[in-house]
Amino acid sequence: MTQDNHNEIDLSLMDEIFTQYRHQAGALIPVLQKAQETYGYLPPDVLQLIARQLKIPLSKVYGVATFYAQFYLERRGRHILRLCDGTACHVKGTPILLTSLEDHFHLQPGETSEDNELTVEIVYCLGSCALAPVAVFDGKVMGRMKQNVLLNTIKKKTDIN
Amino acid sequence: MSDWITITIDGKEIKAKKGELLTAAAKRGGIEIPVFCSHPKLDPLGACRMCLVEAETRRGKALITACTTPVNDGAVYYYNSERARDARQGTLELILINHPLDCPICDKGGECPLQDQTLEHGPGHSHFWEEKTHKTKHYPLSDLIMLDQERCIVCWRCIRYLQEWEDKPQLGLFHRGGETVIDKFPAGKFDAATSGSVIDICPVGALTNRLSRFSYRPWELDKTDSICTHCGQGCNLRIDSRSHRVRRNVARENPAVNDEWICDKGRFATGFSYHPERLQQPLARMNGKLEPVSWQEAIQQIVAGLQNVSKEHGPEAVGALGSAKLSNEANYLLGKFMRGMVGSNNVDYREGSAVLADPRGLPALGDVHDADLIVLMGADPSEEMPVLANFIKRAAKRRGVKLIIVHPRRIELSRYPGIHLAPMPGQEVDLFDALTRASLQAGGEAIPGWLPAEDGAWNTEDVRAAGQWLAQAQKPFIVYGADYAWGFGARDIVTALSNWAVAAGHDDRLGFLHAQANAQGAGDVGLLPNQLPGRRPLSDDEARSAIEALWQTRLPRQPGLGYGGMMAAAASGHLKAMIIMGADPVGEKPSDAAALDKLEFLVVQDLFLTETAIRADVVLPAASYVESEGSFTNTERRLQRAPRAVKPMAKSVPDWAILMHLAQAYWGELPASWQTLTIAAVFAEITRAVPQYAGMSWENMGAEGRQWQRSALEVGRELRSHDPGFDPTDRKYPFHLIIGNQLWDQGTTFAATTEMAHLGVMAARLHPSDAVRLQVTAGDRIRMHSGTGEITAPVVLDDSISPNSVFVPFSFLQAPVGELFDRFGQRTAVAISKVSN
Repeated sequence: MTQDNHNEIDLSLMDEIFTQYRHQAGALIPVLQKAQETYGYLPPDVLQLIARQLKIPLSKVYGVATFYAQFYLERRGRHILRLCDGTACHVKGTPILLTSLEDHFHLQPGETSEDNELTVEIVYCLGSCALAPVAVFDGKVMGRMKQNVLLNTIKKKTDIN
Repeated sequence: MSDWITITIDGKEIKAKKGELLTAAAKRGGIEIPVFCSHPKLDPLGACRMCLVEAETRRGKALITACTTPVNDGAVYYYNSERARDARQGTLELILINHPLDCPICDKGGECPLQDQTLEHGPGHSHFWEEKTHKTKHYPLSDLIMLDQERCIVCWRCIRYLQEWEDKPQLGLFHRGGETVIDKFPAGKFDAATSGSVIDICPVGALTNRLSRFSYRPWELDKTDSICTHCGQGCNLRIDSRSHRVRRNVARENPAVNDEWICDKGRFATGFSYHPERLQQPLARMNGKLEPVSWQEAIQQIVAGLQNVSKEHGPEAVGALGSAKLSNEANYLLGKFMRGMVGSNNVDYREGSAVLADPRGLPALGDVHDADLIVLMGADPSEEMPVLANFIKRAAKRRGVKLIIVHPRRIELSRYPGIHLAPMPGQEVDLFDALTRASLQAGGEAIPGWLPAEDGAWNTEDVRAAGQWLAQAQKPFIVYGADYAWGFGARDIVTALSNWAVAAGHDDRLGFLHAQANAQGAGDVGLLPNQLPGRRPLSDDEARSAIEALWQTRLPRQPGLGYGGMMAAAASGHLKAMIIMGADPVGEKPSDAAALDKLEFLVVQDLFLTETAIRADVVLPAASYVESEGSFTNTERRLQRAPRAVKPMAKSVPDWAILMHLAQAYWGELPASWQTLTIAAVFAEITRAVPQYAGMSWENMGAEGRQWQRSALEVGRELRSHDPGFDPTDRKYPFHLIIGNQLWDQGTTFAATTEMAHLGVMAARLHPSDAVRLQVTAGDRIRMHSGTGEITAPVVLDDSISPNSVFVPFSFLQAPVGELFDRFGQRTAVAISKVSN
């Protein structure tokens, strides 16, 4: 896990979450979810705080956080782009879209731009194969994606260089 | 025997204990069901699926994990059915998909359950031709342990060990599916004191010993069943050597002593046995310099030196120090030589006459497993006896046993539920008086008039509760340690804490925790200035004539000088010659160099050229315990053998054999009473000299040792009055000096393993509030001075230290704490100032 760039993390944001869940057995997963909603990901300091507050071994907290794909241990961008690379999308051109992202923004799947604007992720099938290739930008589904549309959307909606 | 039931496996009826696991029952019936995750000392898990068997159920036959299935009467299982065999074969094939099969370079190769079970149950071929998943290899989890995630089969044994025994869950299972790995939290610690146990229980070569890896193949090792001599628990271990070099230590099971665990000091700290700076040959002082000489020359010089002093100044001018780290035989023969040949009772060892230990040590280590209350007074097992500490943690965690801890610091075990009382030096007797009163009251007994009134500082809820708990406990485990038995005021503290045990009706359960391997034995065999072998006073005429008959000599009647007395007498010029065997008084207290320099003649036998040895007239190279034979008596009076595992380094000789040579030369020939030419013969003589050891022999000590009966030595305990406590602090010296053992210290036998040098933090520890007051921060150096001397050390801020006190560990090379107290006392106060850079 790469260290985040030591931007101060305000751990007091966790107080409210602990107040809500402290006395609830089996609250680890909801607490991790709320923490991720708060910080966008799960920084190491937050995991350590959760272990202390819920009195669960850190090794177990980390085990749960790494087990589920929904949890992110690295900082993610302000905007999230998901590209489907399932069979249909792959055939209909997702690899070309990925190449253009690499060319223009030096971003590979799983990476976040240095200015923290954009994270690119690969998913395997969104169940919309008829719209292949499918992109999801900040939760909005965009079908039959083309290179220029994708690049323009990113340039318009983000401050990425 | 209503507990016995009958089960059927493959049509064969097997007697089983009701409720035991199917794997255990099958084993008794001669069927070895293969396992990986299951381990007799760990809770059942059922993770690896290697133990699948078919069971007859209400819904027909089903595959079940034998390692998690308790057996019931009449149950029917199929181990050898086709379906069960297929299932196990499939499991192995799955495990082997991603296992790297780098057996030729794996330390485990040859003693690997995965190899063995693949031979026994494996498919012999693989369906897979794809690339194996690659994970991290050569991943150092700590200075001591290397992890290979590719070899790991995710059986959880290491994770569970740390949870269930060490209660430090530092390893976890991370990620998912084929990517699952064992790991610690990123940048997390892996520093459990018994972390190396995970190497022993790893069923593959995933966790290996960083210090010994690639230095042997398991099948070419010479294996010697022995014990560990790093502390007083005497854990059983096996020393594996090749070409006369110790390669590794592994734990050996002894349920009464160490179950099947050893700590990392016992496992890894073997460097003393092959360190290049070990003494290679005898040295003698010629023209002011120590020069190599032959053994014959060295022994002749010793005889001449000792005889000159004895003739000129009388035998009382000769003294000897033995060692609590050396065997019964070495200490016994040193005492026999000094008393029987030289004619002096000046014999002692560092933990000897100065320490008010219970002469019977601890009732039994195993008592901790069914204790209903644990009381620790001035003892810190986590630093002094890590395996015992794990037993205590397990009792607290699994059985909810409460701990009462009386200690000036917050120790690791303080985190378990119970009561922690932290008297400062000088306050202990008041506290124990208050506890005594509370226990008497709880038992409805009369309060003796000399007990002080109850309105003191210790009239607290905690004290009343602790007194009541002990009075009501049925099987408490009660120990005190050297912190309360050594130095000024110790007599009163020991009386007061014994009173508490008596008041609660548990004086027979009060015991002493010896931190050194043979502190019990060295006293048992008579290396004390005022006692004969068998812990009998010098004034005991019957004992004296028995020993005189055995040794065929006359014994001196005048009590001798103890350790501190000998040092003082050397300084004042009354003591003229000393033999120092395995002790380093100058290392303890550098200013004592001047005392030893005044001696006319000094002999030192040791492993290394210590600060004491460089002042000697003759230095003899001793063989370490792994190169010698010897018996050791642990803190629960258990005698155990440590046979020779490798041959002695260079020209070194075992201590006991050195003394035999010395006796022969001193007498001109070996007298009839010294014809004990083997270790078994020396031990046989000891069993005649020490009544408590009667009936034992070198052979019948066996693999698990033999305990002498506690009832063989009467210690009358009753409520006794005592003097009040003494607070050593004043305006000039306002800080209490708190000293104690630290597991990772800089003691000679430990420091020789240089790979472990970074495990411990050697520093003076101050409470943060005192640091503010003194205007020091972490890393600064402070000077501590008492009326006696001064030392300087770097500071660590530590809120487990009480305010107005400073903790300094023993065996701290740059800050020898012995400098701060005089030769007889270990309790003092210090002034602290910052050392300006």
